[in-house]
Amino acid sequence: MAGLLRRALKGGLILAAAVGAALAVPAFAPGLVWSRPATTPPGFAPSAERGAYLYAAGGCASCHATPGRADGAPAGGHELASPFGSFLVPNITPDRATGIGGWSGEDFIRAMTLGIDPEGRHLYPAFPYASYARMTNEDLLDLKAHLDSLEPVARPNQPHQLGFPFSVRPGLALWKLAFFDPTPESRLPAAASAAARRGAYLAEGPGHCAECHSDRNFAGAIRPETWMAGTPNGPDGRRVPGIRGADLGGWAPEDLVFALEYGMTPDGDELARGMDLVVRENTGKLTPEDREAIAAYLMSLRGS
Amino acid sequence: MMLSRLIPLGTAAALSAFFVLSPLAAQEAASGAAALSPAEALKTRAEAMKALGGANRALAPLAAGQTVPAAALQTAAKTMSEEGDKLAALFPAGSSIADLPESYALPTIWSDPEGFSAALEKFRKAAHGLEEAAGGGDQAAINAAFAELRPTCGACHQTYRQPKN
Ligand code: HEC
Ligand code: HEC
Ligand code: HEC
Repeated sequence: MAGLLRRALKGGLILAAAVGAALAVPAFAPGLVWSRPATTPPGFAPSAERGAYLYAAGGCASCHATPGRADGAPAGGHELASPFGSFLVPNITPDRATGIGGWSGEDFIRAMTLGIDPEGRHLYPAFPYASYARMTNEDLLDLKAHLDSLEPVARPNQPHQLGFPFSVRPGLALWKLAFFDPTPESRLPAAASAAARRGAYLAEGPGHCAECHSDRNFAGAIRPETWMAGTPNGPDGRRVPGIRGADLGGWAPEDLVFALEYGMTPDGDELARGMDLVVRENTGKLTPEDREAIAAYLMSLRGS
Repeated sequence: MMLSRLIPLGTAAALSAFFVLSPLAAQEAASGAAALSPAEALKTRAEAMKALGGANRALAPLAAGQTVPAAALQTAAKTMSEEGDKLAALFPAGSSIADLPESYALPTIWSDPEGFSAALEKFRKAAHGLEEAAGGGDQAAINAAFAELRPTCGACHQTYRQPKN
């Protein structure tokens, strides 16, 4: 009996060691598992001006703007509540000591698309890099040029307040192995207009609409079959509506364009619960053509 | 003469303040509306909210820095303040989502009456501010008043209304 137990224990230990060894590489040297070439077309020169537009299209300020700062600088400090604990959003101004001033373009692309920081640590998917992974390198380098053009703000990052085991960053390797797709495919139907294609890029990538408008599993990963179809259990624990054409029953494309510009439904109801912020920092700042493009894309999404 | 008239008035005010248990009831009494049945109240407040939505939509161009024709502006601003003044009397006990299946009103309205009254007051103040600005005709003041008003709708919905859809 005791021998059996010992053997089982030994077996368990060997198994744990094997699993541990197999995970060590993704956990501590993620660059060997997840990579993405930082190449750009010849002659490409990053533009801070284009980057400022992408900063809006990405809704970065919604999370990174420091609460109470009038200038809107993305110096962090905003608290994001989640079922796993609180995330304290970091400083992404170009301050060298407390922000991302020392980062190369490659560092930035890796963080934005693979969720790996320059020290090789995994970033939490509360930072919606699973959506930003769809952005082109050119757009990401423009975005970085914009961030580099901002005033550096010295504001040290605070540690997240997460319960065990979520507090263990290397553990994110497991999550990524199970749920993270670094080369996500678009959900755009094959026969889509050029506008819908542009809209797919904006909504699926920088706009990260699916991050709130989809249901999540026990591990906080989007359930693919609920993509943009809404959830009974949104960021505030309540219902978030689906935004596919199939979900927006009585809405015309113009209604959707109106909602994305003004933050109101067609019957004049105010969009709240975070969607007001999305409109203020993101969709309300886009060109009318880009809002129409997002509407064309969403309207093209039928039931799954 | 003046004084003797004022004293009973003051006493009445003090007494009513004393006996009124919740700020919600205070507004109900102040608005002078006859008590509505929960079902009637739900119907009436849904109509009031739809009117607020219509006014909000009519005023939307202000949010984009455009103007709204004066007549439409006055009407919408008036709707905001008048319908807003009716609301306090339209949330009798027994008319929450837990009581009436068609309702979206969360029970927190009745478990947190101070918070609900504060949200309502904030909205009413902003609505009257907008009506005043609309009467004044200064475009910057009108835009500012509308920008002040809008978040007060969502702030109340966020806490006290079950999301639709
Ligand atoms: C939904 C909220 C949210 C949005 C929107 C968001 N971020 Fe973040 N971001 C975070 C959080 C939370 C972290 C911290 C992740 C961690 O510590 O693992 C983070 C981390 C980062 C980092 C890594 C910083 C570091 O010091 O490691 C960068 C760079 C970054 N974000 C850039 C951006 C940019 C650019 C955008 C807009 C395109 C953006 N973020 C939008 C929440 C957000
Ligand atoms: C931070 C989370 C979040 C993000 C990101 C987000 N939304 Fe929303 N959205 C919401 C919530 C919550 C609501 C419900 C608002 C309410 O109840 O007042 C909503 C409502 C909407 C509605 C109204 C639908 C209806 O039936 O009333 C539309 C349209 C919409 N969002 C489109 C978008 C688009 C397009 C994007 C991406 C550019 C996006 N959302 C990104 C949280 C989000
Ligand atoms: C003090 C709280 C409060 C304020 C302020 C408020 N609402 Fe409401 N609203 C509610 C509640 C509660 C409901 C749900 C009522 C029910 O179904 O029982 C509601 C419902 C609605 C509806 C849905 C009506 C229907 O049945 O179709 C609309 C539209 C609406 N509100 C618009 C607005 C607008 C626009 C404003 C601001 C101009 C506003 N509301 C201000 C609490 C508020």
